[in-house]
Amino acid sequence: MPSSVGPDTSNGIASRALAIIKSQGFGIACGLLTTLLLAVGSFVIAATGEGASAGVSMDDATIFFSKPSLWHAWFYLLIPVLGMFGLSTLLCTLDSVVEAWQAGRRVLSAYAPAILHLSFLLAMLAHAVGGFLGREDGVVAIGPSWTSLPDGRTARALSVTIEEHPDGTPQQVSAGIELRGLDGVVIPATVAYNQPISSGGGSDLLLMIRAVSEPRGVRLTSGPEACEMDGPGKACVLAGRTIRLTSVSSGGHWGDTPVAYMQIEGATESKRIFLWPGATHMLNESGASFRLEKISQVPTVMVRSRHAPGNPWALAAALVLGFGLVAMGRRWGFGSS
Amino acid sequence: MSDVLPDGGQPLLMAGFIIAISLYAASGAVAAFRPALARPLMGAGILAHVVAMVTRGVLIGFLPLTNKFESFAAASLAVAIVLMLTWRHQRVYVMFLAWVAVAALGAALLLFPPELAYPPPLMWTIWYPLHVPLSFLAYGLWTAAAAAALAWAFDRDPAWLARIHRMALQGFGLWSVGMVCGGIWGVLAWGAYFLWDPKVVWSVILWFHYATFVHLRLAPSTRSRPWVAPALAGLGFVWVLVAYIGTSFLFGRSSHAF
Repeated sequence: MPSSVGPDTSNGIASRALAIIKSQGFGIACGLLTTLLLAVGSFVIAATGEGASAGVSMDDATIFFSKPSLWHAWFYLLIPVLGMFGLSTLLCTLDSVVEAWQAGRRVLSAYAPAILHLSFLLAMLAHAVGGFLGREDGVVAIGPSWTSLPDGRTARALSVTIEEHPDGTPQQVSAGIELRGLDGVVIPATVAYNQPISSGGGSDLLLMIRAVSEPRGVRLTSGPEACEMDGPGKACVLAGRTIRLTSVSSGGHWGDTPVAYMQIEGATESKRIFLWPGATHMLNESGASFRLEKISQVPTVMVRSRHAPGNPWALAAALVLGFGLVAMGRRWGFGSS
Repeated sequence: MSDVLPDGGQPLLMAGFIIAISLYAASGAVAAFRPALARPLMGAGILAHVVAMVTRGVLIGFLPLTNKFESFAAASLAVAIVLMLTWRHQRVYVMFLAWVAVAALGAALLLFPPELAYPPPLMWTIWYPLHVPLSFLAYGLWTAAAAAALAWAFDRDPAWLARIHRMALQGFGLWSVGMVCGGIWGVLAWGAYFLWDPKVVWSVILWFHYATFVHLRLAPSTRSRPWVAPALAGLGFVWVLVAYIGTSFLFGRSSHAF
């Protein structure tokens, strides 16, 4: 009867579709199609790096939709392919786990492939979460005074430490900073290359771009008199003359030696000079002079703030993967190649 | 006064590599007539190669994988080690892998400056020395799987098919661990375990290719088609070449270009 044929037919189609999705052939087809689409995508991104793919960076997946283009067709196709791949993996894994359990298999290695499949599903979830919800929150230069961070906290730099290889090239650069939370509590922290400041299980990161100790202030003496200027623009009176610090720099013509540029202000005219630590300048013909005793350094740390909500999921995927790889045990066949 | 590293191209530091490539080539040549005789030659070459690499590592105080010369030299060593560990007295298998080792080390010696350099701060992490050797061993195993595919094409011995599957699986396992280590390094260094970067994308491609590969044996339709696994092993080797060499030269700037 027609009334009963309809549901039977649709049930038949549904169960047939389910059988196809759960077949090894379907999973293999999805895998090969994924490699093909990613391969095409890698060439497209490289070829259109100045055009359609100009904004493609980090793990961002939103760019393919905010700047839609036919060049991104490989990515638009990749999403349903991966979706079907994930569905196929999930259904096959559930089936195999139920089957193994019902067959009375209680050894861990019997479930190792299922554990590996779970890690694959978690990794796909991580890519989706990170790719669509992640964002760059900008670059901040943290100096010795409290500086606002994109997440509302404030930070200040306390020190910069550079460890060097025997040839003088940097081995590691790290910066000691203080972080003040929204609750006002201040905690010390260290940021370095390969050592970001992490919160939220790795979903919020402050990554160091560079850290330097920059020359900033000077100390001058003239006989028993002394004065200090803690930064460009500041002035002091020494031996009856007003001296203004205009800038401090290192590098350039002077190599690594820091140099202070100053202006000696007079009633009618001003004189510009530069000095380096230990150098002396004659103020007038009567013999009055002043000496640049030292140039003080202040730490400055450039950090990149990044929200990466896929990281905790990726970490979970990595842990499950590691567990699954170990659970495989002798199934790897090492020692019998 | 700073201590400057010695010239990496000086004869004393290059001798091990020259001896290694000579022995690899001899092994590859001898394999055409007496595969059994090729094995000690390969072993001696590996010994010289390891001494040369370790010497460079001691000098820079780090894993000697800081530039293209060392990278190609290490890739060659990985292939040679895998050949020793999976040795079969079959001339095509031995010759293919021996000549791949020669080609990789030859490329290092002929195309790239052998300069010694300390690692930059971004490399100074435990995850780098874990990530790269595991990846190279996976390359080696997958290259061996391709060699086994070639050997199967010559003698149709079904034992090769089992070896192809086993080496593909083992490479997949090592590659997965290597990717996790690289991903952790990526998060610590750049804030992301994945980047739209040619090398990273091709790493994922390799992972998907061999993840698919290891499921082949479970598909009933491939049981009557024994050529599928050798074909995919051969294709995988092409993918390895693109991932390892192509991404360095065919694509634009990569986060893996040091």
